[in-house]
Amino acid sequence: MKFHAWGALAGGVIKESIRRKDLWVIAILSLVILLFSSALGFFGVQGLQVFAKDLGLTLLSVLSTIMAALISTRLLPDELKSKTIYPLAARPISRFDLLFGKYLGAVFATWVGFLLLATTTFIGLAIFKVSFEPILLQYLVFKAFGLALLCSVGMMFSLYCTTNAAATLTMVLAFGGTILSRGLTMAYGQSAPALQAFFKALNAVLPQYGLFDLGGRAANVRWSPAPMWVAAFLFGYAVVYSGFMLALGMRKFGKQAL
Amino acid sequence: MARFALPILALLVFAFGFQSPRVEPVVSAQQNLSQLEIHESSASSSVVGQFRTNVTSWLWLHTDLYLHNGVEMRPLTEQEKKVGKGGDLASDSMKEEVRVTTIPARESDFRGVFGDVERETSAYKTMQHHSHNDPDVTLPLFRLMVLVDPHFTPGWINGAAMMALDHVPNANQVAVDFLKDGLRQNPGNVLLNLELGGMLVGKLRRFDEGISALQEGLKNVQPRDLADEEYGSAVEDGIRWLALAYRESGRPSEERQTLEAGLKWFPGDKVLSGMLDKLAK
Repeated sequence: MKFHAWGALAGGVIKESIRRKDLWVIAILSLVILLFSSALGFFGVQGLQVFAKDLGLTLLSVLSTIMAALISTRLLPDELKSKTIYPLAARPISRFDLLFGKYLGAVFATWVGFLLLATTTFIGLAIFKVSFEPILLQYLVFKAFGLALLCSVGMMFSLYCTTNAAATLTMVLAFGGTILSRGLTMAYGQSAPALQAFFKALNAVLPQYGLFDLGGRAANVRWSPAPMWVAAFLFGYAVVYSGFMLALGMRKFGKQAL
Repeated sequence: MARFALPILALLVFAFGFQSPRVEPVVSAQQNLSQLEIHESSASSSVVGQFRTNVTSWLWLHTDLYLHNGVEMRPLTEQEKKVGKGGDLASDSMKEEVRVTTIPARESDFRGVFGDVERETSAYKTMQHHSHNDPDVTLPLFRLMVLVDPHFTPGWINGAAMMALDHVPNANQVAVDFLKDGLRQNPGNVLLNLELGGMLVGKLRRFDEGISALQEGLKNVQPRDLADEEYGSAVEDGIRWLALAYRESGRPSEERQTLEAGLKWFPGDKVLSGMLDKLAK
């Protein structure tokens, strides 16, 4: 366990993120959220709390997903392209340490951006007199687990294909995964047994990113937070799935000629 | 000789062309730009119009979602209907369509623990014999959708119906004012006039005002549109309200005329024929 090395690599990713002005982009997006909230208020339609909360959480979810995909998919290809990976590879750390440190950096950078966006969203919601409920805290925690999982998917794809292709595939899986899962459950009952087995396998392999989104519950009224066993399951699933994705990535990165 | 045949034929065709009637007055539409709607003559207006329609439709879908507290529903697929799958909404008085929850119930979900977790993290509950959220949660959406697209008639009509259900003392008057706003944006609209008239007669018992609105609505009815189920049903209800308003106002001859005219459009309407029989006695 090289916590020091992982920490240094992750810190480097965050510093790079600041240098590349990623956080400025997030700040601008946050401003868009605030302006949008103000625009709704400008129309003078009263009682839009549920709608504003729904819209705010949807926007937060979409923007944070895009951010996770873009940050995680460009880290290693950029290092390889600019050859800045050589000084890192010359250090007494293994390639796994390098990959894992970068992954942690991607996760932390995404979380920082997500928290910034969330803060602005909640300020925007406060304009509509939406109070902060416990389920919103759970929404943040679960979403953070989900973003960590998505970063691992993005990082894995970035080692097998180009940056743009990896970002596209990650976003397709993030946004289309739930739709695909719905399609599978709808078609399952009327399908042949062989196809049903394929559906089960496909569903097991796909990242279940949609499970981490409590937006539907948090936006509406009188929904209780999810039970603890669900939180434990999602945490365990995120750890296991991310581990699997990093192992897949390592399979390629470990053999890659530098 | 043969080499002249083609030019001569061409000349004959050309000469014959002069004999034909002028094409221009026949194909030229008797219309100029000033007669076109703005969205027909301006690309940017057309795009804005499409955007407006999409936003309105999206808000329309959300009213249903909020009434069900975020639980997403879907209609049954053709295959599901074939195998006789039942819906969750058999007892739903607000929708006649058989629908099921988008997230399947445990017994029909093959995903095991993933399905269980989704039912715990999403807005999901069994929808058999379910209740609805207070309709006032949807009122701002109706106001917003008619603000975005003032020509969206279902927004005005359903919004008014929801406002009439609100728990405020003057709910019916608020609904009537909302419909009058709609008529200001859509003068002469048949459905809005009929809804307004029905509300004035049925809920507020303001017969004279109701009669004016109903007459205005029925005046603009196009008989060819009666085949449309929703439109036809609104017109049929409008005729019934008008006949009732005449009866309550002590105007039997006008009631008879309305009933007879209504029965020409809807010969099988038992309410209209019953009212006519009662009037004859």
